[in-house]
Amino acid sequence: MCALACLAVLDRQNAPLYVRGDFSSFFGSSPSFDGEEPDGSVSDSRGIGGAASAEAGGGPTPPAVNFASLRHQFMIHAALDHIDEKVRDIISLGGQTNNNDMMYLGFLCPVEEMRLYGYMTNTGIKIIAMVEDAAGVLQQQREIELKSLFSSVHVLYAEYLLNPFAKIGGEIVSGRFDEGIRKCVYDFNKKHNF
Amino acid sequence: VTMSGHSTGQIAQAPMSAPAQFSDQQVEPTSPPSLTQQSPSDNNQHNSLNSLSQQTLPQSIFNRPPSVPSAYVADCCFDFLLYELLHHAKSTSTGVGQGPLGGEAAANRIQRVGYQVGYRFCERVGQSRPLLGIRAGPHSSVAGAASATIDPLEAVKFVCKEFWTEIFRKQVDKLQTNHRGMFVLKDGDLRWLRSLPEGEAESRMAAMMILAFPCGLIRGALSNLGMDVSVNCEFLTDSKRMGACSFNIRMKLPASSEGSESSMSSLTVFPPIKAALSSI
Repeated sequence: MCALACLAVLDRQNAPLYVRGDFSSFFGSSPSFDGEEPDGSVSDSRGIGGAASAEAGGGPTPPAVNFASLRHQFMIHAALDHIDEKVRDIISLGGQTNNNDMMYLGFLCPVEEMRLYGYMTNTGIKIIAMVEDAAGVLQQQREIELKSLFSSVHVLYAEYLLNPFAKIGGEIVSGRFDEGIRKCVYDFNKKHNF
Repeated sequence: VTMSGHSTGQIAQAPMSAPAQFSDQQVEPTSPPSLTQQSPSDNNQHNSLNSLSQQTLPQSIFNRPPSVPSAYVADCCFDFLLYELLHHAKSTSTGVGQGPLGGEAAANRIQRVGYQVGYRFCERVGQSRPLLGIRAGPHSSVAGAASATIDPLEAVKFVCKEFWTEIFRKQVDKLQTNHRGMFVLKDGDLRWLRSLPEGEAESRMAAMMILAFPCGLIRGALSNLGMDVSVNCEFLTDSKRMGACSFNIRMKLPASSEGSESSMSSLTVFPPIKAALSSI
C-alpha cells in the first residue's frame, strides 16, 4: 500500500481541477493514459469500477489517469469544511505574519484510516493530499515531506497555467503535469512506505 | 514571455525543448548581435555589453525546477513582439474605419491578450510569496473559504510591487486609493513607451494602444487574486518623459454568490453534505 493515496487540486470556488488517486498502481505496471473525460459524471462511474479493480490488486485494465474513486472524492469534499475553518482562523488572527509556511494549512481532518492535509495559495487554489495514518514518528516525518510535496505541486500547477492553451478555470489536462505529479508522489511514497 | 535578464544587445535562439513553458524560456546567448542597430533604444544597451563580463546576472525570485535549463532572453525581444502584436491587432481588427475609432477594437483585443498573460503570470509571481492578507467576505457564514477574499488593497499592492517588478524591474511609482474601491497607479517611465517620438499626435494614439496591454495585465492579475475590476489608462506625457502614464482601477460590485454553490456539486454525486458536517 502506498502512503499518499490521493491528491486533489481545487480552484477558488472549490471546483475540482485535478483529482487523482491511482498512485498505488505505480508500484506495479506503468499507468496508461486513457482519454480524459471532462464530464464529471463519467469519472464518477469510472470511480466505482476503479475502486473495485484497485482492491483486486491492479486488475487487468489500468485505471485512467485523471480520476479518483468515489470514496476519495467524498473524503476530499468533507475536508473542504476544515479548510474553511483554517482560513477563518487565519482571518481572525488578523492577517499575515511573514511566514513562508503560511500557505501550508497542515492537518485538516482524519477520515476513516486516512489523514487529510491542505495547502492554499494566494490565488485561491487549494491542494489536498490524503495520506495513510501511521504511528507517531513516521507520521511526523511524512508531514515534513508533505510541505515540500505541496510546494512542488504548486510549482507544477503554476507552470501548467503558463501554457497559453491551458484553459483558465478549466480542468488540468496536461501530460507534463501528470508526469510531474506522478514523479513527486512516487518519490514521496518510496520514502514513506512501510 | 519572460522579462528577466539584463538588457544585452544579443539576440538568442530559444530551444524548442519545452514549448509549454512559454513564459519561462531563457537561453544562453549564442549568436552575435544583429538587430541592435535597428532600434534607437538599443544604443545604450550596447555599452552594457562591455560590462557584461563583470555583471552578475540578475536572480529571479522564482525557484527554478531543475528540469528547466536556465538561459536568458533579451528584453528587446519582447518589445519587438509587443509592437508586432499591435500591428497585427490593428490590421486584423474590423473597426468602423482606419481612424481613431478603428483603433478601439484593436485596443480591446490587446487588452484581452494582456488579461490572459496577467492571469497566468500572477500565478507564477505569487508562488514564492506567503499568503496575502485575507478578510472575510460578505457571505462568510456559509460559503467559507470560497468567499474569503483577499483584501483589495493588499492585492493591488502586490500588483504594484512584486508583479510590476518582475515585468519592468521597478515598482509602480505612485499608488492612490479612495478606500472605496478605486485605485490609481502612476508610473513615470513605462519601458514600452520610451521609444515613441515626442510631441506627435500619432504618439498619443499609439501610446493608448500600447497601454491597453498593461491594462489587461493588471486586470488579469487582479482577477486571479479574486478581484473583479475594470481598468482604464491615461497617457500623461509632458513631452519630456514619454513614459508617464496612469491606470485607474475600479472594483466592480460583487454579484450574488449563488454561482459558487453550483460548482461544488460537480465533485460528488451525493447531495450537499457540507451543511451537515459543519453543524457537527
